[in-house]
Amino acid sequence: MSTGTVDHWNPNLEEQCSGLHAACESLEARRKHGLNQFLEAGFPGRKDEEWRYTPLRSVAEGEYSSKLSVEGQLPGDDELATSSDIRLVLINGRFREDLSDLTALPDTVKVVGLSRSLETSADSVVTDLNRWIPLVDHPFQNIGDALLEDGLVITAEGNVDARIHIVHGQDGSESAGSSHVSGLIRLSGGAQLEVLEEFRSRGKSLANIRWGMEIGSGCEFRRQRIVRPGCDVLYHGTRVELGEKAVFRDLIAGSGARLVRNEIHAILAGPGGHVDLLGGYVSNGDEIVDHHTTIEHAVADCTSREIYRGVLGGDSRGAFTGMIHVHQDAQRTDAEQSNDAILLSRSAEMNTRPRLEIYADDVKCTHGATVGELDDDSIFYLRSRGVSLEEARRMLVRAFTAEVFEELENEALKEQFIEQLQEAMPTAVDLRQ
Amino acid sequence: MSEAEELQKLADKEYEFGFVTDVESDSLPPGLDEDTIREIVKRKGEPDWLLEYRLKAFRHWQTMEDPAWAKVEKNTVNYQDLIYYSAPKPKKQLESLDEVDPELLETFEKLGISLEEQKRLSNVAVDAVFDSVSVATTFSDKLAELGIIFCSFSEAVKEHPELVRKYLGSVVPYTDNFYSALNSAVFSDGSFCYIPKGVACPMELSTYFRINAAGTGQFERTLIVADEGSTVSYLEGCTAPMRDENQLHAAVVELVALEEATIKYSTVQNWYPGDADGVGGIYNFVTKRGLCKGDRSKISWTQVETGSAITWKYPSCILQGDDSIGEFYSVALTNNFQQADTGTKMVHLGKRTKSTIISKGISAGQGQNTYRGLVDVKKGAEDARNFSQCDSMLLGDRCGAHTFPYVEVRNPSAKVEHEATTSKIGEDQIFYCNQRGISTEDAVSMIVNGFCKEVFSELPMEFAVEAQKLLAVSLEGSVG
Repeated sequence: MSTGTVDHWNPNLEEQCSGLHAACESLEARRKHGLNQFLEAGFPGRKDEEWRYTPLRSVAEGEYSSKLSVEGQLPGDDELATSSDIRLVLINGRFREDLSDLTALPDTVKVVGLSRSLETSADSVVTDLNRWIPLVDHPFQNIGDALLEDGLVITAEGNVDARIHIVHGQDGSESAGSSHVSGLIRLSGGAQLEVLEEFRSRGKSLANIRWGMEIGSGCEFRRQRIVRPGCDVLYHGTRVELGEKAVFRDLIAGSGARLVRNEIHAILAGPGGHVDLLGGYVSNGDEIVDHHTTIEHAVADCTSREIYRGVLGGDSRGAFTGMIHVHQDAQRTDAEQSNDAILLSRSAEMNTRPRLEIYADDVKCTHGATVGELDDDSIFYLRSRGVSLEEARRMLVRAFTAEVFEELENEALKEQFIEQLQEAMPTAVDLRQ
Repeated sequence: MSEAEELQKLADKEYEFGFVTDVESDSLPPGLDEDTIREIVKRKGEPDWLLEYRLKAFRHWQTMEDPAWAKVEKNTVNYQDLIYYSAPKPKKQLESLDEVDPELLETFEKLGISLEEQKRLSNVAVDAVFDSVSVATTFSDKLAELGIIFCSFSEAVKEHPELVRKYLGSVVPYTDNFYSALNSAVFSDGSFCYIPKGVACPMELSTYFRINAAGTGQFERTLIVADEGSTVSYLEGCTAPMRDENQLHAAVVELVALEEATIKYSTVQNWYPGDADGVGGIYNFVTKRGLCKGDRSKISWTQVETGSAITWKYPSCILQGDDSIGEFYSVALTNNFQQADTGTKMVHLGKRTKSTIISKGISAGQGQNTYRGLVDVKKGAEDARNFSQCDSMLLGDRCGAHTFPYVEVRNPSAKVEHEATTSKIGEDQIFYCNQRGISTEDAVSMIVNGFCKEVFSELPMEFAVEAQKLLAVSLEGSVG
């Protein structure tokens, strides 16, 4: 399903793809495959079920079809309260060692830029990429493949507990464009790793980021993602495979981005694994926030939990598609999913599709979805105690979204997450009385 | 008898209603083109406007493709191999039941729906659709006194063309989907019902469907119009005899409720599901939709789906009038190789519209059961309210239960809730029953009936009993 506006993209992509350095044949093959898939399929239209609620017209129009310049500045300077000394900076899709700080990195954790590892060991890196980010026909993945060049390779092994702060900076202030990041994260031998991924942006830019992850037996990977105000278009894809008793905890929060598409495909491939997916957002204007998740329970005795909460104002649109797929052998699966949204304005819109596909009989799967406005009774309760209407709304929205962040251990960070969402709250003037 | 033997015995039990009545039927040769449609129209003596309507639908159908989005696996239907018209040969105009083909009456008796009995003992008017043409209508006189029109579709076309013309295709246009287009082109017969202003229909109206002649696709057309302030409850029940090849059933049901009218439509569907190896069985691809046109109108769908190899239907409500109400209560059971992809659409247009969805899916054997539903709250639907609950129960480890709800909300004052759960029958529950001398088979039947209670309580009395029995029969052999 092509939108017909890919004319800008096609020649640009072909040119950029052929200009890349081909370190090995398998890399070349992967780029060609992505390019050809994209040339054939283009961007999906709204008839494509997977993209039903997220129009890509503005992306397809071609403004983003050039790569952002290598010489970009890191936008914004308000730093998050991370408690992490290890800092990785990517600007316009390039890993910038000069801006990063790896001094506190333990020996058991290795961080290498993808472009560097493609120089030194192209074959094995592409083999890993093919294994952990398998080829799929997907518009952003196709482009990511065609322009596969840089990103990160992070491995952690053995008894380690480290925290890493990754900053993705997008600088489209001079001319609009896109950046493409492919990352690999592999944990083994009971390693524990926590990553704070931050997205900052200036000007018109498309950030196309995807991760392939392997969380080995007994390992735990925690990730928090924060989309800072001012981001333009963000596609973020994660494919994660969990071994026996492995744990993956993910949290995404954000506001003020024009279009966010967050895709997670988690595969519980070893017994006793657990996946936690949490998300909270406040949207305004004509923003679009789309969370698209698939949790595959491939083996028995795994658990998963999913909570996404959104507050939508202005003409903004929210979408949620959450698939829980329980395979035939995945007995004693316990999967929970909930998606709640509050609409604050007359022209905001929420579309939600919680999905269950179940092939095993001894399972406990529940999903719940609600859409509504702030509870009148609660507002009345607060107002009768002298709280102003606007303050009452703020309190209720805060309580509604804060629940998602409850388990975040870093209190200062938690407060910042909640605060950012609070600030994005539409003022009472924009609201229907 | 050991449990294994007992289960084997039950599992070997063949479809009870699998018999074929030998009635001479007057059929068109298989195949479909414009001439087939002209021939149907000619044989039925239909007016030109209907021919035009059918031809338009047919031309549109030719531009469409067999939809593939449902979560079912099916053989390709060759639409040119089907017979599009089959009618029992009319011997003469029938005035009373005595004149009905005795063999036909016997068939109804086997099904336990003897017209005689029904007429005398129960207060149910039966418009028996045997294959495609209605052969007997009872109680019409009684209904006629109240001004209620309840007749076969063909009769309605002749007697009440103004009503048919006004409402035909007004809820399900022929452009709606592949099967509704096909149905609009070739529908043979069905039921028509009109309840005049302010009349509460004093009895349950019901139709029994049977697919009989081999290789005949059934294309029923039902149209129910409830005028201002009227009330009607309509029952539809199906059983079909054994067939090896897949048979297609593509019906269209349209309901129109005007101001303050209430329509309750109940279905017990038990088409032949195919044998234990998944051979044969009916393809049930039905379009059912109700339009709550007037303010404060109400449409309620209740369905019990235990039959068919593939069920593909979404009885829907378009809540156009302010304060209108839509309801959907469903039990779908799939055993052996049956597949069901069923659910509803609730489209909220009017202010303060309310909808309720209760869906219970039961999967056994290698059955695949999918709930697919849409709750769509449009911009103008101020203070709309929806509650959806989809529960699935899995019996056995080879079956599947799937839930694909869509919730689309464009008005902040809407309150929409969706819940879904999946469970199985606990060993402790079975043990508890066994301890008290209840066999495993009965225990399962009891628990499943309890699971479906919310839906059964919506069915009219006699249907509720039938539905419970059906469920027990359909579950036989599924306990392991």
